[in-house]
Amino acid sequence: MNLFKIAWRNLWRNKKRTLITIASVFFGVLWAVLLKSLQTGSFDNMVDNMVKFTSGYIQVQNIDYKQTKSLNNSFNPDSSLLSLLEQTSDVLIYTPRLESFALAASEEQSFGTAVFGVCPENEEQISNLSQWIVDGAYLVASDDGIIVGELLAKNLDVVPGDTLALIGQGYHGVQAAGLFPVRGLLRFPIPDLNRQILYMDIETAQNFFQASGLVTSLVLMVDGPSMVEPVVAQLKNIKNPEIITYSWEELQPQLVQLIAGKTSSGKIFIGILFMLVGFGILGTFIMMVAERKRELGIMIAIGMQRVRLSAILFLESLLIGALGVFCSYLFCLPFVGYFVKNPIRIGGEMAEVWGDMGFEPVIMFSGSMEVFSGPAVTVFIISIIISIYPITSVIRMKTVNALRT
Amino acid sequence: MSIINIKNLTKIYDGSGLEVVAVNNINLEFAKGEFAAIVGPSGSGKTTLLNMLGGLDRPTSGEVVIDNQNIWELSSRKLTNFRLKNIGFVFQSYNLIPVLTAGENTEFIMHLQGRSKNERQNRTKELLEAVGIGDRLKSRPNKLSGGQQQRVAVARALASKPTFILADEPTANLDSKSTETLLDIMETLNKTENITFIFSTHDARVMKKARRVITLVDGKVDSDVTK
Repeated sequence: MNLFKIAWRNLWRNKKRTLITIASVFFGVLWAVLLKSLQTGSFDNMVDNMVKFTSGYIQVQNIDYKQTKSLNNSFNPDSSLLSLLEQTSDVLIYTPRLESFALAASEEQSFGTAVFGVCPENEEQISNLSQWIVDGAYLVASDDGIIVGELLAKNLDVVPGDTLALIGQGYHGVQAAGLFPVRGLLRFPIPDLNRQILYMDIETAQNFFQASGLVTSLVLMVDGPSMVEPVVAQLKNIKNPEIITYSWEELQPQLVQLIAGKTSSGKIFIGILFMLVGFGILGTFIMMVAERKRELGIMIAIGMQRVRLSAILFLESLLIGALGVFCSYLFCLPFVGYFVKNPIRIGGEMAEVWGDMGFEPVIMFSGSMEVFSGPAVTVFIISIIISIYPITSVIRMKTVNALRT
Repeated sequence: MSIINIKNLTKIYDGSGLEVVAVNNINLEFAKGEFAAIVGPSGSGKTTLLNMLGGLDRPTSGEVVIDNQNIWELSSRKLTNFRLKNIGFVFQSYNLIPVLTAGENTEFIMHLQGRSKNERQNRTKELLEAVGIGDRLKSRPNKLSGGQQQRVAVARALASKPTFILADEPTANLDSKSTETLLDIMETLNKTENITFIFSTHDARVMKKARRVITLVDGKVDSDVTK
């Protein structure tokens, strides 16, 4: 007959009350997990999209490029830099990019567009660009053609096989102009990109912008966000004062702010939720202690040390929390697991609204450890805090008064 | 030779400026193996005396010396431990732990004493058989009659092999038959195992069985008669 057994049986003395308390924990944890899973899934997806399509996890740039995104702030990646990247084991792959802007003109229309000069093979491994080709073909090495965002192509009224004229400003202000056959059309999950982006081979771009051998960035991919910091730290050792290394967080401060803002509001909501859960458990314990005052007094009278009695009450508090969390996870795990594998795709007008805001119209869930551990730890802490009430009641209890109740 | 020595024991309750002297300068001694009843009208101080004797209620002044130890000089922790080892309690309302079976209630105190599982189980069986409910080992208190619950309470009090047992109105909630059975059990245990019993009671049947009757009036010993 150990303390756990007594605590367990005490819980079930008033089944209805215990079940209601467990239910409050259950629903609290359920909502917390779902909200966290939804937030984390959506944010991870957002970061993943932004990292893949734009910045990569890490970029090496000319020191002035971040401030002024101009071809004049491009740089020539020398062999020592490339060799350092080769030697950095956590860098999975890197690819050069030459980014600028141009006016794209077809027979009837012209639109401003971002021009990405990329290495097709390496870019494929980073962005998996070819998967978004909906018409035509992906670029090959030294290709003199371009692939164009679907909406941009639609606006310009071009299809694969047509030719686009690009006019812009090259390196050091030279005029850049050229004709480029359209190889394929891209449909990214973020509609904004489809409206304003085109890709060409980096050598073609260097020729077009007359920026021979120059890149605006070297985009590095590492094995997940956790590897960003150590790799950035390693690359800080680059001796060239002209270049600098940025993490995706430094390159996407708006995204970081957006996530931080949403996370904070989520935390406030979850905080309120758990406060209600906490008061629910506290109410139960106030009742439990009041009802059992005489019994607690008897246990002390017959020789049970208050510390051991407190341990029983502490266990009861933990058990209620643990049962609520356990039941909640029984429900959450398959539910979240299903939606992690089957994200909810949004269609119709709502998808367009999301797209206009720059978000992929999909509701993603995350099944990461953090999603499940957070609420469990919170309930554990709440249980510990709440157990202070019955424990102090026992410690301060006057045995003879308790026996008179 | 006395095992309990009460010296100048006084308890004054101070409520809203009004002092009530519940126990007034009592001196008593109890020898090993006594079967004593403390009697008196309501408010005479029987329960207060028993609570101070049992280390549950701190006296305003005076001493309770048990086995040469003034128990009120002990710290709260040591006093609890002293009760565990030396004093058995039987309360008016049985006060068994409702989530434990009869066997577990009896075993509980031995568990607190840190005795081995084997010893606990053997003694529990032996005690419950001695009080005549060996067959109710696995029954929870709510499945037992008042008389049966009180017998479990006696078994629990005996389980720790105490120096003495304090029983506060143990028969107050029992019918005549249960009272008779319980008193017989306690008397037998007193005689066979030489366990000291001290009762507070109103019950004439208890007084009849007791070999010493101490009468309290207004917190003072009015008479102390050994039969």
